[in-house]
Order: sequence, then C-alpha cells, then structure tokens
Amino acid sequence: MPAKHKADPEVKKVVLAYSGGLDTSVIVPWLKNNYGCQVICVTANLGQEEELEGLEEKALISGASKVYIEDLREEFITDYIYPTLMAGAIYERKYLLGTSFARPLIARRQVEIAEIEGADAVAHGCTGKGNDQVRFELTYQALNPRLKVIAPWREWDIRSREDALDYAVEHNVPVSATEKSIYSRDRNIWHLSHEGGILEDPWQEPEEAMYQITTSPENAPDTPDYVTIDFQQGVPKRINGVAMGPISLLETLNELGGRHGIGRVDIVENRLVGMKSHGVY
Amino acid sequence: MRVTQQNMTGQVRLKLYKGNAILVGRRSPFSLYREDFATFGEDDVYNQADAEGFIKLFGLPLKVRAMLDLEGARRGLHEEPDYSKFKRD
Repeated sequence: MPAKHKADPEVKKVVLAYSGGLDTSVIVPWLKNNYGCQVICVTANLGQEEELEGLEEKALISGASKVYIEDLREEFITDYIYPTLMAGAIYERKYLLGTSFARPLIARRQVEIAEIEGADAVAHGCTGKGNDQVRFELTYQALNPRLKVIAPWREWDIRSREDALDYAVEHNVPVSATEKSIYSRDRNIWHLSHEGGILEDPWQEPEEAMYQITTSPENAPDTPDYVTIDFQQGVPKRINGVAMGPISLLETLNELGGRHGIGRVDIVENRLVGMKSHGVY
Repeated sequence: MRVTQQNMTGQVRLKLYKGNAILVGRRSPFSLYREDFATFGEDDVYNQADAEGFIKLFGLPLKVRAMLDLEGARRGLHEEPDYSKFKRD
C-alpha cells in the first residue's frame, strides 16, 4: 500500500487508540511499515459491552509492542456525562453528545500514556470525513501540542472494507469471521449510535431490527413503571431509594428505559467538517 | 459547574411508558416553590397591590415608545414596505 505522506523519521513510538476492529487492527502494521515505529495500543472500556478478552492478544499478534486496556467507565460518567447533564447541553436540540464526550476521554488517556511511555506521536482510526478526528485531535492539541498526530485514514490508499481485509490478511492481522454490520455503530454506557446502511436515505424509517438497547414503543409494556431518582448537588445517587454507584445507576436506567422504548432519537445533523449526516440513536 | 449545582438536591419521579419519560413529581428542600405562597389567599409574601406598580415600570420602555409615536417623533423613520408587490394565494 503506497503511502502518500513523507514518512517522518522522528517518529519512533506511537500510541494508537485501538478498538480491536478491522480498521484499527490494520493500522498497527500500517504504522510500523510506513513509519518504522513501535506501536502501543490503548483500548478504553466505556461500557461498549464488547468482548475485551482476546483484544490484547489480537493487538500483539498484529504487531503492537504493548497494549493498555483501561476501564474508564466511572471517569466517563462522573467527569464527562454528569457535568454535561448539569449544563443541559444538547447539540441542535436533539443530539445527546454520546460520542462527542467519549473521544476526548480516550484521547486524554492516550496522551497520558504517550508521556509515560516517552512516545513521540499519537494516532487514531477516524476517517477524514467525520467529527471524531476533530474530537481526538483537538484534545491532543490542548493537552500536548508537541505530540505528532497520525491519521492513517487521511493518508493511506485503503478505500473499502475489502481493501482493509486484504491488507489485514497480507500482514497477519487476525480477522474474525463475524458478519459485517451494515451500520456503523458507536456504543458506550451513554448511547448507541447508528449511521450508514439504509439510514443514508433520510426518508427511510429505521428498521426495528437495527435497535439493540430499546424495545419499540409499540412492543413496550402496557403498564407504565414509575421510578424515583434522588439527586445530590446535581449528581444522581439513588434509584427508588436504593443507593448506587454511577455505573450501576446508568446500567439500571438503561435497562429500565430500554424496556419501555425510551431514548430513541432520529436526527439529520450537521457535522463540524461541513457535511450533513443521518444518525439514529 | 459545581457552583450551579449547589441546590440541585431532591427527588424526581418519572413515569416510563411507551417511549416516554414523563415527569410526574419533583421535590427538594431547596425548592423556591412554596404552595402557601402560590395560592390566591395569602397576602404576606405577595401583595397583589404591588403588581400595579410593577407592571407600570416593567412596561415603561413600551409606553415611552408608544408616546413618541403618538407625538409623531418617529415619523418617516421607518417606511412600510409595499406588500402589494408580493403575490397572495
């Protein structure tokens, strides 16, 4: 895969935000081949409910020299989600910022690890078309502008999933046999986003099978549930009188709300980079 | 952010039904809502006579502008557009 950039000989060690998906797995050998550097993978558990077992092994087989798997759920909730709730911040009256505030947290941890490891660069697997690249990179700039930033999607020739799969096979990256989802999803404890697939036609109602956390309102119970939430200085502390830590609290509410079909939002929204996109949450 | 949340202590009751989270009750030891003040009876905290003066002062800018219009001070300042040029259904 010919690279379009000038490989920077100064880059000896890169910290990559690694999700274990096809793209970030391919990025590991790509970075080594195009920059001749060591790759350190950082994976954040933000409540995406994905198997983290085997991720470390996969990253190492793909060529990483070290892997960090970080449980950032509690910090995500108390330092990012709750203050956003307190501010009542909602984008374009509808988008509840689920991916927006997750990326800076991952990026922050990357920068911390880069400093601990003496790395000279950070990298992410975001495309050049979306908001995520901005979220990661603004955080890198704010916390350590001396770190170089590598965004393979903006440099390489990989244009399709087939290209990525070919590259993976060529470079011994383990590829799982799971079916490609037609949707592009991002999930954490705060939300599950969907883009792509039939959603690319904004006149199409999303199909019921796409949703993974909520039941449809039509299929929700005919009897309502009541829930009492206790707040202390803006922080939710109890559900129906039972004290809970932030992770259990959100998991409980997700289950309760999901069962009653609460929380679906369908938006045609404006990306910072200029394009509109159709997202369903 | 923390300062704005100092009084955000209390309980919220929600009814969850068919895609709706409906607020059905709220209470807080810091609430500024007092049932005894809000009723139409009590005059200790809220004296209805005060409303007249309040409305006069609150409306003063509107009133001054209206008086100027009456005196013709603002004549010629703003020309009405000729809406006859626009098609009507």
